[in-house]
Amino acid sequence: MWHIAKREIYNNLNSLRFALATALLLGLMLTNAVVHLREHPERVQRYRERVSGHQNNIAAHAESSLYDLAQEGPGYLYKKPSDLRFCAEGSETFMSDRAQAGYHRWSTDTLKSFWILAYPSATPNRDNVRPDVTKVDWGFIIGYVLSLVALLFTFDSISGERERGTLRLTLSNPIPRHTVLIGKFLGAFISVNIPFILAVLVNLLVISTSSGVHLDAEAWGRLGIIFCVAVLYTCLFLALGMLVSARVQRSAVSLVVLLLVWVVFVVFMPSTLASIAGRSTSSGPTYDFSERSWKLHEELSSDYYSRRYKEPEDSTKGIEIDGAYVTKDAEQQEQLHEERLNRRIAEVHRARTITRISPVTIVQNLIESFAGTGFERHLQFLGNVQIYAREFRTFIVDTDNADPESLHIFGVRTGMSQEPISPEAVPKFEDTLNLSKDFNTAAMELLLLTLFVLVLLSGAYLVFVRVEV
Amino acid sequence: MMTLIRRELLDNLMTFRFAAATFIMLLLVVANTFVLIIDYERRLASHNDAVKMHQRQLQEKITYSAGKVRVDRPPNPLSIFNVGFDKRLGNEVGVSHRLVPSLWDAGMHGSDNPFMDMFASMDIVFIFEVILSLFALIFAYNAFAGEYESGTLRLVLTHPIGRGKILVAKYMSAMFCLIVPLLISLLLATILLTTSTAISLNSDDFLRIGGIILTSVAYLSVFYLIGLLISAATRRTSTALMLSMFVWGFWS
Repeated sequence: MWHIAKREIYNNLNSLRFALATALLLGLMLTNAVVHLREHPERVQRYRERVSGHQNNIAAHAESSLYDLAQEGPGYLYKKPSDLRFCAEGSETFMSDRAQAGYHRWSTDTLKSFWILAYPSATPNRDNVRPDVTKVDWGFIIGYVLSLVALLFTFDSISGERERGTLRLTLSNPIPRHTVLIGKFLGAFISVNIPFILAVLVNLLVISTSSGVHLDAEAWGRLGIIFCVAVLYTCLFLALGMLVSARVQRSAVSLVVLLLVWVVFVVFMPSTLASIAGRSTSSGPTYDFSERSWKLHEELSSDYYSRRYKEPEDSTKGIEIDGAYVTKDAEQQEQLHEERLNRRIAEVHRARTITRISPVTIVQNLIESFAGTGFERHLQFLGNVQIYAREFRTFIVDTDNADPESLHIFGVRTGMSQEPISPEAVPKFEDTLNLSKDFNTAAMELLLLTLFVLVLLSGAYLVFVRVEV
Repeated sequence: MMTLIRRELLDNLMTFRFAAATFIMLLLVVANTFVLIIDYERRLASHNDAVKMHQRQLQEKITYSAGKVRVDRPPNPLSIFNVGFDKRLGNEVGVSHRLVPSLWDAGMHGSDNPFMDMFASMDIVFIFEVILSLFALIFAYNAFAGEYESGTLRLVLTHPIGRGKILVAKYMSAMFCLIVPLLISLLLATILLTTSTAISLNSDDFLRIGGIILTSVAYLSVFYLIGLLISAATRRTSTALMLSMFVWGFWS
């Protein structure tokens, strides 16, 4: 078996396709590294500036009074840019890089609306008149280029030998067929992975030697996982190539079949399925939302005014009604925003489930979730933001409760504690990434990919065992 | 000359790759046209709703000076062939005095979910671009290298025919074989378009479809000629095939 693998490797190493594949992969990976080095330090710098600005904001509010802090809220919360963004740019540009924890809607001469958590959306498409360009990230290189290379290495592995007659010669020796198949698979596997490993090493070398980007131990672990996913993915296409090559008599026909399968599964399936999935979502127009929000507010405020004017100006009862109005309004509006967010997320989840039939989507989703970019990462960020918002509100309530002179009525300046607060005591937002959470979301896709590989491998085995030489 | 063309044509038409090209083109184009038509109808409905609402808002206005007229851009039925920026850029603009709207003032109606933008949208021209360029190269890779290997090239050249003529014959017959699936699938797509009640194409649109066909043919011819160049320059079909595939992967 090892003899066969070795023969295959020597055969491949001397071939034109090996040289071309190496050149192509190296070129793409180098481009990727250079682009990342140019863009990433800027991105990190911007994030740092924004975060420090946000801290200063909170400190200013905290120094003025508890009411100001509770009314203004923490302000914009920013998503930490991932160090592994060169692995998968993917859908990152379509996600907002912030959440707005301080969205104000109205103020009257005595009252101001309290902050709510809103989720601004990034719509880079709306004012982008440049045509689409494919981002050269690992997701693209692995998903498209590496899969094509894997097919080009295996399309003639069996049919080519049959054409030349060497298959008969090999099988006349006392070697079982499955040994031949495994040997061929191993040979193709190693000769596809040599250029890929080379390219990956060059890419990582360029990135890690630069001073602007720092990769920590966890990032290297994630890179290792991404590499394993890529290797699994190449196995899938190698198995597919062997399957078709064993089934079809001539290698030219085998190549045509393989390319068609590749084009359909890799190029068309993701976008066609996504447009079908996008169609099934029937979300209403945008103004529905603002109308609903306005109506809710209107109902609440008319109720408030009718009750408020029965009370004298400065009584505690009046302040209580004021406070109830403001807090109730904030609660309602925030719930509305959260409902909309959840509906949108559910739609995307549905669409992504449908597109998972295509292996390239699976592998790109996997790379995205392990690289800490993309949709799953965005959901983690939003989860962090929601936890932080709760923390912040609890902090306000606790500080207010600690002051015995306060009336404990939220929403009104006179109803809350007047004690000064130290800015250090205010909880700080920290956006963290959790590898085990990433594993949980990726487990399904990982298993699906493995299933594809196993099915194709056993298919190749069955076909090759039964085929007539 | 005619016999040469006929020979090449028959050679190409009888092959598996021609059948595969036609079949896969038809499959993809029909499936995608269905999806795209439904998508277009939805966009049109949302446009009509928006127009109605803006009309109503305008009639409810009492003072004209404070009024803001909202103008809507209808979706283009030809966006089914090539979507371009039709879905991407804003499709409603508010016009009032003292405001000159620019591209960035345009709003968007019809889609409530900005996350859905991350899924790529597709159109019929994209199918042509990818599949037909691939097939142009597959048709071309053994045009010369294959004949060279089987020795028929020598045989043909013993006859008193110019080398240029052989080239032209090969080019014409292969282009014919590539244009047939293109035309059939475009025809099918147009038939599907006309059956839809929401879409009415005028003569202008048909002229534009003609333009799309012309550009597609020119595009195909570029790829076929690249393949022919590779095939003539290399002596072995497998080398030619490898080179063509890498060129294709690199350029498209």
